[in-house]
Amino acid sequence: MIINNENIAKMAQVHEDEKSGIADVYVTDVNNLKNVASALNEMGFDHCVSVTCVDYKTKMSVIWHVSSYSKDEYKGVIVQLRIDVNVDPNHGIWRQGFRAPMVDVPSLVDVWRSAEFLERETHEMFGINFVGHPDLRPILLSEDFYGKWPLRKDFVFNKTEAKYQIE
Amino acid sequence: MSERLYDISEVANIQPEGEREIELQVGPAHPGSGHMRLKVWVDGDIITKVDADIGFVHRTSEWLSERRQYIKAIPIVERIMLPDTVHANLAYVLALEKLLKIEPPPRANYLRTLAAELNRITSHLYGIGIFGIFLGSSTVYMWAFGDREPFIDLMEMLTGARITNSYIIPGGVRWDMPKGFRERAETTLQYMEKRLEDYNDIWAKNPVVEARTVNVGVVDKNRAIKLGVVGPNLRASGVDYDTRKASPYAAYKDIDFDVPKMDHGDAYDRLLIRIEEIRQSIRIIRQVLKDMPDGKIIADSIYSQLNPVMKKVYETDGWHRVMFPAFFNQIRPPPSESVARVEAGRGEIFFYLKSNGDKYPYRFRWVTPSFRNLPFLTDVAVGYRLADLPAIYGSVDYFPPEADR
Repeated sequence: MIINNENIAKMAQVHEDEKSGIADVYVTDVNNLKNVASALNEMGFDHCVSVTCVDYKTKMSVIWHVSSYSKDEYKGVIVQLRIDVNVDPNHGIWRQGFRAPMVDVPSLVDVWRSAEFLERETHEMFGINFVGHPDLRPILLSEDFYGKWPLRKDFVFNKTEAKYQIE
Repeated sequence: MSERLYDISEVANIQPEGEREIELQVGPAHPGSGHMRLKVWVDGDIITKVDADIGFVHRTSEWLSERRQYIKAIPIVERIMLPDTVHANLAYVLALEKLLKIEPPPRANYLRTLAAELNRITSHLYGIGIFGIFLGSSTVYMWAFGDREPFIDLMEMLTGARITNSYIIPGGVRWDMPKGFRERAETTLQYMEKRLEDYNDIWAKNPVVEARTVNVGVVDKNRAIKLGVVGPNLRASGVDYDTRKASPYAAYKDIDFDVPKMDHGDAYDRLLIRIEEIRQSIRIIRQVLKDMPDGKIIADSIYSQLNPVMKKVYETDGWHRVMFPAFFNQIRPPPSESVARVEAGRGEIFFYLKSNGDKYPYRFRWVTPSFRNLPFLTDVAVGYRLADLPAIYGSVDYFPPEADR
């Protein structure tokens, strides 16, 4: 067992796969997410490698991949901190011009500063509203493409939308 | 004498009392190496805040790759990271091989290491050249881009293409090492070793370069860890981390090499560490050429599926060549997920693939080193003078198309 921590075991389901090198930490309760992240950070997983999301149509699975620079024993390990959020049309922020509502998930920028730009990218691609993130402006997409959530599975590319609009 | 159009004192008075900051736009018209804009707020000429505006060359590589067969993502990821094509290719193929549960044979692993290290040298020379032009040294720019050429020629000899090689395929590599490659590589390496001394003399020990880079853009160890910096920039700050050592891939497990690191973490250290890493790459290439095992260049599970014509081509002249098999189009990995990390020239590439058993990847996620070095640009320049910004930006070796993906 790489992640041998009582606090984390109480709040999340830990599953380790030696072949793929992934230690999967699955958090079931949103309220525990920040505590689990802090516990991982204290263990020595000090930086965020990637933030991403997998769209399962009825639910979104938001994933933080974290690893360690400072502890030798964790350098080769990638921890996959995962949380599932249901997509509910009546939940989250739905503004005019948005194709689908956002999904609320707590931001972990307080724990890992290196997640800031990665969470910003996931926000504009999937419409995940990272609550507590200091700055959720679009980063890679243009402003007129904001709100379309292009990496969700129900996104259909429309050529007329892609044309440059002066207004 | 024409009349002055406006009174300078009036312009100065536009700034209301108490507001001392001015917003400047650096870019996006190619400030040096590419298409990105830095919004810089200055008080006098001291930088108080930096905001990076990127995305000008966003090419939707994740969106494109999720709508294509697995094998067709190789050219897409290569074209995002043009100075670092082999590493992008390798990282993706490693992630794909984990999904497919294929192990490449030892000779293919050595050939992959060889291509990767040749590519690391060209990538570092590219970075050194761009840093040179940032500091106004056109000589180093010309030298570095000229010295990159013999290595690109070696890559052409090994892979058949100068930049976009597509050399690494699931299960192995496409071509074996050609005849006469060892001798030519040794000549090139000896030439590069001599040139590194010249670089030290004209570039690293140059008083102008020292004056502009020493104690500029200092990042200590804890701050580098907190910002999640990757690659040579991280090691210049004194963190002993290299993916080649932390989770070895290809043939790095069997190879003896050092990971250079510096203590101070300023722009000068980031300059020196790239020269040091070229030295280590030369050492690795010599070992690879010496210890290269004989055998197949493609995994048995792939080889057994080749048709008789392809098998005949593979054995012709005692020099192996894999004709690209059409069944690569039909790859359907079992439902699973995989991650892969590779130490590229600029830092760590990360891949996350998710398959649901279909022809196309269900989720294709990758993070490039330049994107993870972004906090460097926004946080580190604060507190230095505006004139130091080119030195800081140049020393990070930031490559905008790579960050935008």
